[in-house]
Amino acid sequence: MRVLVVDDEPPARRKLMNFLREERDVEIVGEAGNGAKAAALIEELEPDVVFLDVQMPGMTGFEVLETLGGRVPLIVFVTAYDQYAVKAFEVHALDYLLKPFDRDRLQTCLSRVRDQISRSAGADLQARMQKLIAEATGRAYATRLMVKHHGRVVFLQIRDVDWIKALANYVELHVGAQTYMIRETLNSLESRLDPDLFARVHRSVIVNLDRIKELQPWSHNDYLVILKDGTEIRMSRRYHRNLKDG
Amino acid sequence: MGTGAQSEMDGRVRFDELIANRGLRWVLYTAAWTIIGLVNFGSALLGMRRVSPDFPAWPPLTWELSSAYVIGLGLVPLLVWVTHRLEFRRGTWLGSLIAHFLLTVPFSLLHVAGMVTIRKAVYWLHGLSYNFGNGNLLRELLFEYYKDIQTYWIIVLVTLGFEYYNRYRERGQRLAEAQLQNLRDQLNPHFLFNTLNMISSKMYEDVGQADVMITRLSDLLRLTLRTSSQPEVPLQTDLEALDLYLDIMKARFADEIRIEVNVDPSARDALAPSLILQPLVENAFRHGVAQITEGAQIRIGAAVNDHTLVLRVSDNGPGFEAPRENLLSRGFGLSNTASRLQQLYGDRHSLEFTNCPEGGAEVVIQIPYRSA
Repeated sequence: MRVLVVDDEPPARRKLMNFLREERDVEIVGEAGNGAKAAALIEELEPDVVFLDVQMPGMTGFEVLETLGGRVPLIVFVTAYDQYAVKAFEVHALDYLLKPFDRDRLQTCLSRVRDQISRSAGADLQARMQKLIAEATGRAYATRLMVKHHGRVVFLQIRDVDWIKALANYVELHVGAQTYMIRETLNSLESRLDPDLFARVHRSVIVNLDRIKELQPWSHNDYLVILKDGTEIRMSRRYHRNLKDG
Repeated sequence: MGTGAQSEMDGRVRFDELIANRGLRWVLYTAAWTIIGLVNFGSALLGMRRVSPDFPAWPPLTWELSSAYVIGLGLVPLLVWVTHRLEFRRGTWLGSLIAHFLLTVPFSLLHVAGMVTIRKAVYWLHGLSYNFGNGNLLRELLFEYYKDIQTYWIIVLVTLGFEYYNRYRERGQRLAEAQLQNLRDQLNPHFLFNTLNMISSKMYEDVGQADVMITRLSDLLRLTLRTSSQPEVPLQTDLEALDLYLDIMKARFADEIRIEVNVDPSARDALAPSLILQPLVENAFRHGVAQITEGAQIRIGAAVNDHTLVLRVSDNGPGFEAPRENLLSRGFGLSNTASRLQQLYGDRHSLEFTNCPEGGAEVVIQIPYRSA
């Protein structure tokens, strides 16, 4: 299995990596000392398992997971003490390690991971992770998205996104004059967005409700959504309800 | 805690509960004024019988009880209310004092009006008529006024005494809470478990270094337990604890972080709140330099400037983004610092959060300088 180790304390990373190097089936593909780097490496290296510290400055372990679209690796949370997180782990996480831990505890954890990989119950895991994040952070929806842009990794605040357009297996995020692409389906992204902030107005378009200036009647019951920056988006009939409720 | 202290505390709790019952409190209070009236009645009756041995008991009983009840049940609640409103603070005390002097007049007039009404009613029930002052109203009013001045001031002083006692006790309680919170912050489980994890990692790499860290952690715990019960300690003691803390933090987060400690010799023996610096430094670690990868720097300074002890902690991280209120909100680690300073020094302290012009955040604390 390909493993990524994330912790803001170098000695903590060293200990975990020293233990993991003793395992024949483990390949350490990278290490990260902060959340932003962790998110970028997960996207880039596509590890099977991430040992993820929860309390890190800037971006916590949970926030790292929030930014990930598409495939989420198996996550083993590593924490020193966090009563709320531990409660959430007990219910939803595959496993977690409480610091300090010994070899035996790590062995137990690794056998669970192996078990899970052989069963590869990906979809189920994804749903469990979403629940865990929602419970531990107190939010059900993502607050930022990670996108690659000209070879750099950029973290976008969800609030700053004006509108989103689907293009096959990609979505296009419009943020002011900029456009970013992420590899995720519109349906999957929609499930991570707060419906009080965003609404689907078309099969292939989601808009930020704060950006809507006006709705103009269009042909046969359709409307034209006009954003504050002048962008015009056609709204199909079946999505009227999404705006009228708001 | 010894058994003696325990039972004494229990006794106090029970008495508190007793007087917490509103109805019972009024019964006890009325009984107290009845006793005052009866004592005065004894004295008045003996005084009358010295002149005319057959003097009946009910007139002096009427006089004294009417006087006591009008004061106790009518005027005391009124005067307590007034006293709570007339504050004795810098700038207001003279006005309050003058107001109290003037208020003795209506106080006495209300007292006389109340008791004369009661007396007239009781005399009428006996088929007699009560004549206040026997024709010399002014002399009688003055007579009552002189007695009432004493009563008035006794009530005011007792009220103020209670007020100060309560304020003092509350302040003590709040201070104790803040101290306890401070101890909890120092012995933060996060800090402890992460430090133990670091030591466990070091054991595989360098047993000697791991041993050093165990000693540092033990020394820090000892110092924390010893000083956290004291509101103030010499700054020197706090700096020793900070050194231990910094050694541990450097071992946890690599040694690249440069730490500069710059303390005036005269500041070392100044009294400062115990363990005041550590939360500020922790904050600089967590929200400041932890977010930059190279050239991280934390500066800690202490100086005495015009009878003021000035403590500074600055970093070269991204600086404060949030407004001051958010910085003091729970969970940021600085709210307890603010409340301890408030308890210990009132408005004679300042706590400032600023972003340095060259980048980074700075926290500055100023408290009155006192030598240990």
